[in-house]
Amino acid sequence: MDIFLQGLAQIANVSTIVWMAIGSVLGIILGALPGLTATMGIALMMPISFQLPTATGIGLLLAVYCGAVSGASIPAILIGIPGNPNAIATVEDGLLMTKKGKAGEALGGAVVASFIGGIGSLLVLVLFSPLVARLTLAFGPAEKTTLALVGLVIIASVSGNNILKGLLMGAFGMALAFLGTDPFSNQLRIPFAKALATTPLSKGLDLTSTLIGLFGISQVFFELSKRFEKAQKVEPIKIDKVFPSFKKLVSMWKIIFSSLGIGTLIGAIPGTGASIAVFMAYNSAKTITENSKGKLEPLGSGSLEGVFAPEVANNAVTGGALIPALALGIPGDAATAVLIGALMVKGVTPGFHLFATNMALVYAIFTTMLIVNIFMALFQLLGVRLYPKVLSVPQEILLPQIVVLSFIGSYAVAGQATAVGIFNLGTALVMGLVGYFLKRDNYPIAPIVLGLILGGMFEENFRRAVKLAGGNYLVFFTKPICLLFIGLSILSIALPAINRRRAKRQ
Amino acid sequence: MFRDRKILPFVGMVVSVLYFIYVMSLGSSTMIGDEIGGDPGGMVLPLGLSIFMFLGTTALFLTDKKQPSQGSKMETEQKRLFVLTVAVTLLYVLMARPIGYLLTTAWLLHTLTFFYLQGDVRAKESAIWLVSLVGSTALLVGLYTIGRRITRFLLLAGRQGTIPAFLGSTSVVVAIVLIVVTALFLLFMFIAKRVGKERLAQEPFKAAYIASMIAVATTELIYLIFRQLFLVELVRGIIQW
Repeated sequence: MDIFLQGLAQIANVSTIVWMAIGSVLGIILGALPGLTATMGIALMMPISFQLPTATGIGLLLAVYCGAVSGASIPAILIGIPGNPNAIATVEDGLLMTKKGKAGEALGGAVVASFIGGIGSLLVLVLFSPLVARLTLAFGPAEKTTLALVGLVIIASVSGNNILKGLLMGAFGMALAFLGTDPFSNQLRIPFAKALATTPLSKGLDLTSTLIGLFGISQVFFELSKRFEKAQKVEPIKIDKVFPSFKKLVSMWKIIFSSLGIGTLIGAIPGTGASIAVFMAYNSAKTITENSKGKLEPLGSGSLEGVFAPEVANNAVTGGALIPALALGIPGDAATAVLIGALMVKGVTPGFHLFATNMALVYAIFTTMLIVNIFMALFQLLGVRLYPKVLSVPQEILLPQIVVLSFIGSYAVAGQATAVGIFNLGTALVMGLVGYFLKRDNYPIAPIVLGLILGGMFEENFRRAVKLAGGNYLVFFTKPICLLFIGLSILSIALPAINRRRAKRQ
Repeated sequence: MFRDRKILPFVGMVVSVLYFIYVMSLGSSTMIGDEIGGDPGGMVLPLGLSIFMFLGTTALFLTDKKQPSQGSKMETEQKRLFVLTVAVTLLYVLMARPIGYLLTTAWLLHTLTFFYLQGDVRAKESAIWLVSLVGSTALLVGLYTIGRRITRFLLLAGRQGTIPAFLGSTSVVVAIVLIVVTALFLLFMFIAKRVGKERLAQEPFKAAYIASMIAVATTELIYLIFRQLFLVELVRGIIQW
């Protein structure tokens, strides 16, 4: 109880609450703007979180995360364009509801569904993450090496259509992580070491600037390469009824629970993410409505059920994705990868060590999730008439702002060190261009982030494990947990490949 | 023979070969105190990565072909805007230190917003761009100077005790500066709209006006948040006061 109160004390102050509120509103706006993702929002807010106390900073980032996931439903419902892939499955029924004059009910329903998804998955997070973290007590260097491997391979194999591209991006991220100094001998490991020894590169690439470049600046170049999308004019909508009735909610209990389960589970599997969960939840809801003997409205007809299923699922992913992120240090999706990056910048390493030594912070994070979900629901309901106006902000004005915020963000991480700040600007620009060319040719970006984050953990534990085994590289094949992780890695590469081959044949 | 291949896998092949050479040139370093041996050394993983990356990119080079529809989809105007963005952002990175945060950020924002709103980079509009750039710079420097003077006065008076101490605290100073600067900015906007009512409704004057206002407001706001609230040392450059 004392530790819980200590955790509560970290966030029970005006500054934290205000930053969480700001984060929620910003997240909803970012989520509502087509083309801007939750990951990008978190990356842009990282430098601000860096200036705040750890719990406050994490509160800000979680608020942006939850807000952006939920806010994506606004354009999906009003104009049929999802703010980000998390709301793809909301489009069909949401837009039909708007056309039927039920926009208010659809928007309100999406908020209630997001709230249920967020809180439900938070409960699972609170119950399971300490257990998963405790499991890692049995992990030595060899197990940790294969754990990092499985995290990398899974995210590489499920992001994008080409497994090889995903694996190459993971390798590229690891190569970037190896820049700097050798963790055991302090030998410089940078090209042109003599010339660059006194530059900030000698300490490795700055994680924040790299993430901002990959997710912020690259997105601007990517949007520039397409035609500017015209700002969406949303016709004035009549909003009279916002909350779905309690009776309606009770009638949808099967849909709510199945979507909650799917969202949390999919979120907890590294690399999968909300875009997969929403379709699975939608399909499951379709089966439930078909078997309801007319008690529930069929999906695809502009029904609240069709909005509820994906919206419960996508917000359930937020809590689910935090389970492996906090307990193992393996992110569930790209957004949590950036969150882990933010924690690491703050000197907090996720995993059992965090649960054993800083349980107060873990409780603070759990409580923060509860508060940001309440804020997300509150601000989205309060602004139900205002957020549609956000959609009229033209890209021509938005993109330069993202460029400047990205640059200032990467600079600000350096604080008082001007030279490092300028170097970070260069890093962000170079990574932005790299990210653009990769995105253009359909190379997934998320594995690079994983490689960057897990590269150090992989190398340190790999060398330690081999050293402890007296130079025996086969040590990874002698331990059951390692074999399990290696098996999972092979499966995660083989299964999608087999599925694709089967689909091609059919 | 290779016309239908994509360029990126080839670039990846070259990078992985260069990475291999670089890793080999570094040599292996072992753990400090590894007298009994067993440490695989710092070269093993980077070497393995370079080989994997070379094999992977080679496989992609041979298999990942350009689709007939996948040509250069960018139109001339988009290409010009893309090149402008790369050039201007590169200049920003290079000039941020000598010129300083305030001016380079405002110029970057102004230039990008103006040309994005125009949808192209055309020489005939460059005169209007330049004039509005000078105008927004003057407005920004003016607002910044007023803000700095208020900040100095409040901090000094707060310390000397001539005003209540809370008025000299960082967050209150930022709030007061924000209110004053916003009021002056809105006043300027009001006057500018009144004076140039007809002109500001026409392109490219409208774009120049919007770009100027956005550049000034965003730059000043970022300055207040990051420099005055978070105490980040934003480079001063030529504006030393």
